[in-house]
Amino acid sequence: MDLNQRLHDLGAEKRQEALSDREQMERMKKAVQSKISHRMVNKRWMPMPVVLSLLLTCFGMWFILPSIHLDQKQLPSSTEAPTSEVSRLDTESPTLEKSKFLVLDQRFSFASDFVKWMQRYTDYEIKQVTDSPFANVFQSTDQAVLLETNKGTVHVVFFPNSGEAERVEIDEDFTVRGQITFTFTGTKLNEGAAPLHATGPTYQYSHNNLLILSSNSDFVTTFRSRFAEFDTYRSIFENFELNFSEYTYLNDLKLKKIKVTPEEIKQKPERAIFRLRSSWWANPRLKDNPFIPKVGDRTPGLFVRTGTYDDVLSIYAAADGTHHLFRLSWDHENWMWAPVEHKQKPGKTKQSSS
Amino acid sequence: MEEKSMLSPPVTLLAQTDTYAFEELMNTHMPDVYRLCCWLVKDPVAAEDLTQEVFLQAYKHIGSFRGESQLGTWLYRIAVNESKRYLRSWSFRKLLYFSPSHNAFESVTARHVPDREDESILVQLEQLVHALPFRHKQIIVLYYYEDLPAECIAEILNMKVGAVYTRLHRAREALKKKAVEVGKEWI
Repeated sequence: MDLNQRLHDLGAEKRQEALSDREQMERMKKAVQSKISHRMVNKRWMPMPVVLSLLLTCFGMWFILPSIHLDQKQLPSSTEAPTSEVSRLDTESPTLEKSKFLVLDQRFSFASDFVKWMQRYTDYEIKQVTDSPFANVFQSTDQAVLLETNKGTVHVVFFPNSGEAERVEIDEDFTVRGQITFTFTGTKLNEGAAPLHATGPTYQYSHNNLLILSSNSDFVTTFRSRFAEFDTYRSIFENFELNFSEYTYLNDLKLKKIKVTPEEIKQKPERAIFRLRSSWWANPRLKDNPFIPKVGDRTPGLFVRTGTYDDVLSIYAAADGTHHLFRLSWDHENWMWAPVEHKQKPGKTKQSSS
Repeated sequence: MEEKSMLSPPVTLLAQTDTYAFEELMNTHMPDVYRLCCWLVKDPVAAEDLTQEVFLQAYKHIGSFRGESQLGTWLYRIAVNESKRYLRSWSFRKLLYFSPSHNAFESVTARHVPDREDESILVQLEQLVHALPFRHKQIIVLYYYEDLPAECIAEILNMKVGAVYTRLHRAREALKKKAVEVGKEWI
């Protein structure tokens, strides 16, 4: 009998002997529920100075930015490096109060599109962009950056060709305790570049020409879902024959951080955008609920036509593959965002439901 | 696992942190996650802690789960990562650390006195699997113990299907090498 068959037999034995203890499961469930309740109580007592700091930092960061457009066709490497100026990353609208600028050194200009995308489509705040040691590892590229964010650090390697990063795989060796080494397969490495050393496991995610590496697995989870969302949104725009580059994505997580009052909106109607949520359809004051989520439906994405505040689109892909588009408008009387138009079209590919 | 995921609460309800839906998620998947953690770390006490941590992570990140994979697959991914992290943590590596329950969970097959020659072989094989590096052990556990298809394993480990087969082959080769080292032979 060969090894493969032996392993199958062993697996069958293991599955037979693994019986769950009901009492034990109940105990674990209660422990989880207790920890969740404990965390929720602690969150309510966030010190006021921290809250104020967060509000000041986030104030106006995601308002309408007509000057920022991503290269929608091949995200996100930029091949047009400015020659004489430092790349400046705007994170505010000129109409709002002064906020922080992330100054990108000229030598990292290849990363500027990706950094902008990351700030727009994720809830990471990028504090610094510096050299990454991975710039000296791969033969086909020397473009790599280390991003320091509010939730840890992440390395991003930019390969010259789309799909190249997806052939790269990390191969780690944990056999010697305290001395983890790793190398890469699927692409040629510079001589002497490998093996590399790490203090813990390294998580990898590849998308088109991007290789993303971090010791924090959360980055992989987030980027995977965000890239998938981004691709879905783009395909919906194409399906409805809209120009993706004419719209700005509204990050729900960041909109939630900014509070506005009715008086502020009366004085500056454009601030109604901060009342917008991807769950706008759940407002009980809407007479007919236009959207009832089903298993497998994707979360709606919000977009506003750049340069405006009241031409808003809410788009999503349903579990059956249909693409939906709602055009929203601010209802001053009822103090809410309401749909004024709904379109739907079969999507080009059917997505699988979870 | 595929059948169970059909009964999982709707993702959108979970994203709204519906308490009942999350409890259903735990009812459906907790035994599987605990079993996987036990197989990976070989310590039922640690496996309990890890299982709880998996569901806490799931609760925390359910908002970012977009439904591109099944819920069970997503939970397994968290479980594998947490197990890997635990095995690399200082508390596990402390020289004097010894879980009183560790040997108790050297598996039933290990403690059980084998009646037949093939049972004895399975006991030895299990010990060899446990001695593998984590990257090989995880693939053996997912493919043979959990009996998952390669496509599912690819999603859990975030790799291509081809890479799963490659890693499986390497794991089997590593097992053979280990068997030779301890004086066993595989036909």
